[in-house]
Amino acid sequence: MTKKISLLLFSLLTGFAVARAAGSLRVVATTPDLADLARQVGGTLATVDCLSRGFQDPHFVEAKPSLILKLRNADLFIQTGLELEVGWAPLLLQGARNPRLQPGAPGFVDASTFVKILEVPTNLSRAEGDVHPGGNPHYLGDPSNAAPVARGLAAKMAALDPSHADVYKKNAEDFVGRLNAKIADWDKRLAALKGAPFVSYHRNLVYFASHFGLVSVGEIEPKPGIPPSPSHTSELIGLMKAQKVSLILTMPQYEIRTAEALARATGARVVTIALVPEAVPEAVDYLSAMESNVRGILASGRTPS
Amino acid sequence: MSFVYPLLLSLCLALAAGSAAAESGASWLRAANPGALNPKISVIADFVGQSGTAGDPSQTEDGFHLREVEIGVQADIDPYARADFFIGGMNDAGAPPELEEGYFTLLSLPGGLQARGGKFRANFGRLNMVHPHELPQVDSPLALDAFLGEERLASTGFELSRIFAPFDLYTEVSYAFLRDLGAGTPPTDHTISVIDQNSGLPVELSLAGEAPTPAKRIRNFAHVSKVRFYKDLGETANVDLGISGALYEPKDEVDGTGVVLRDFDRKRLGAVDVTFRWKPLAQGVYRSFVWRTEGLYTDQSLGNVLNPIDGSLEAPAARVHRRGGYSYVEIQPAKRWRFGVRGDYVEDPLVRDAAIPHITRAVAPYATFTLTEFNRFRIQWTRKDRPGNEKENLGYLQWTVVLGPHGAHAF
Repeated sequence: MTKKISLLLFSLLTGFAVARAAGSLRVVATTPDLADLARQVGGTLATVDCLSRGFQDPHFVEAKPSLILKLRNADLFIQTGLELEVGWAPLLLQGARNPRLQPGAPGFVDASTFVKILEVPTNLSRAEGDVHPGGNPHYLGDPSNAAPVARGLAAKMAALDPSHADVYKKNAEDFVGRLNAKIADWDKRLAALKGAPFVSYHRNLVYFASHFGLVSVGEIEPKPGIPPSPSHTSELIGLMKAQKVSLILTMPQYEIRTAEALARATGARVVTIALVPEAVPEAVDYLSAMESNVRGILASGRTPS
Repeated sequence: MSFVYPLLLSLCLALAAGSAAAESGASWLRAANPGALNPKISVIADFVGQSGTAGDPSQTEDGFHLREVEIGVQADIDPYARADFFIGGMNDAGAPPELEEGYFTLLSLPGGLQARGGKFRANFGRLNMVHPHELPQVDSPLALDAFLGEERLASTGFELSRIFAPFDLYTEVSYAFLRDLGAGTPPTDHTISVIDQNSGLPVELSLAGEAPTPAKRIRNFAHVSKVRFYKDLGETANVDLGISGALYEPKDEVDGTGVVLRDFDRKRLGAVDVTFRWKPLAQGVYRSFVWRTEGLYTDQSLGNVLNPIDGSLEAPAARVHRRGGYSYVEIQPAKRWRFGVRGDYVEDPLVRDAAIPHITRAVAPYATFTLTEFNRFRIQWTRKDRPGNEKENLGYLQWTVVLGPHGAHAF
């Protein structure tokens, strides 16, 4: 009997130790792409939660109290930065009452500091719509940017959990290895589309287009955050016809009617892009999200003439 | 004038740095933008036009009014605290600016605590903390004006709050220790008009009011507390429940012989608020639904009313119990449009005799068009049924604009 009890206690203790080791670092990311990179880097040493879903507009997530609970006991907070989450993340951080995550604290990470930012405005005015003063925040649209973000997260996790620094570094390098192999494959498959013109709903494909050599002709929104107007849509139709645009790239968070109207008027094909995991069903993580984009564009059959 | 040259030199250097930043691109700007440390400054202007018929002349002045201009200044103080200042009250009638709120929040207290200190709107009910331009309708629910005053429960003091999560239920508890209950408290002094018995002409008399002198004892402070529960009902809906209480029972001021020099109006307030929200995650910017109801209760001691001429007792001290509340639904069928209707019920908290009809009811349908987050239009019609079968109809047009990086609002 004593032996059984000892065995049970031993199992419980070791089980508890394993449970502590698995997921000892509590990470919360604002968007699913950052959450997936954190999972890749943290592996079994981190539990990762996300504050938004992939089919939500990351600009307009509601600062619900249930999200505050996710941050209350977290060790690491990761945000996209560049004011993408300015309407909700500061409220959640303040409401969480967790000093480890406040801006400037060791547990606060702005992932935009790891990459080169495009489209930093030199003239800031609300007349330009919802401009981001620090630059375009959709930098993970360029898969090359996932590598420095993963490495940056590894360094941050190592600083918070030095005893597992080697594991985080190895996990990040493993991910970068898989990423680079995928990038080589995607680049090859989309090589024929270099220079192809496209129209997007919102100006959030700048990095994606820059990586794959696609050329943006315009957006369905007249200015960032401003809903399409009939006159702008009419101008866009003329522009698309003139430039033989055959691709309209949109996302699940935007209304589809205008994109479909453009497609009917111009003969272009609408492709739903998953900039982040969960945006479409097959996008279960960052790599599969990017893979679904490549497939979607190729499946549209709209290679440049 | 010796400061002029260093100032000019600094300006030239700043301009040179600015152009260098523009030329060298993003990274330099992000690293060294000197404006990054400035507080966020916003200006919010609320322009209202109204027209209608009613018995209350103060509510029926037809025309357009710049109802209020508010300046917000917000910044982190250091890694441990932030500050928020809101200066408002300015309007086209020449009202002077006044500090609506000015408080500091400690963000790094141990044990999950958070503290606010300064002048602030107390965490009471649902709309007490909401500034007028951010209200869901043009006008305030009648019960709020009647029970909390036009300036709401806003005073100087200290607040402590903490969140808990029993059974994964978001629970927030807050307690505030305030100097008083704000403008709902009678003013310090007031002027009355009386008839001079010799000349027969009206004269103005200035009287010491009932408002307390600076609080000296714990009992002379106000206490405000709230418990808030929040639960997600799946990913698209949620429910919010709040229970609030406020207490202000200052002790009478008496002289050495026991004669009461000032007797204060004592007040106890209670509120229960419920909010149900629905908003789909995908394309959530295009559709939503909100139902909110708030019920208020006041238990108030009103002091004696004396005849200003001969000092005789006109109305004895009374204790009144009054109820009020509002409820509204709001539907968002498209990105820029919201339609709603609010119903009001309020018992006049200053009527001493419960036998006198003193109930006002109102219904207020409205439509909001949000051009952008910074530019909003609203139309509203308010129909009030006042005591004595008195009807009041008011039409409103509201245009609210925000300049600058106006911060996000609490959920």
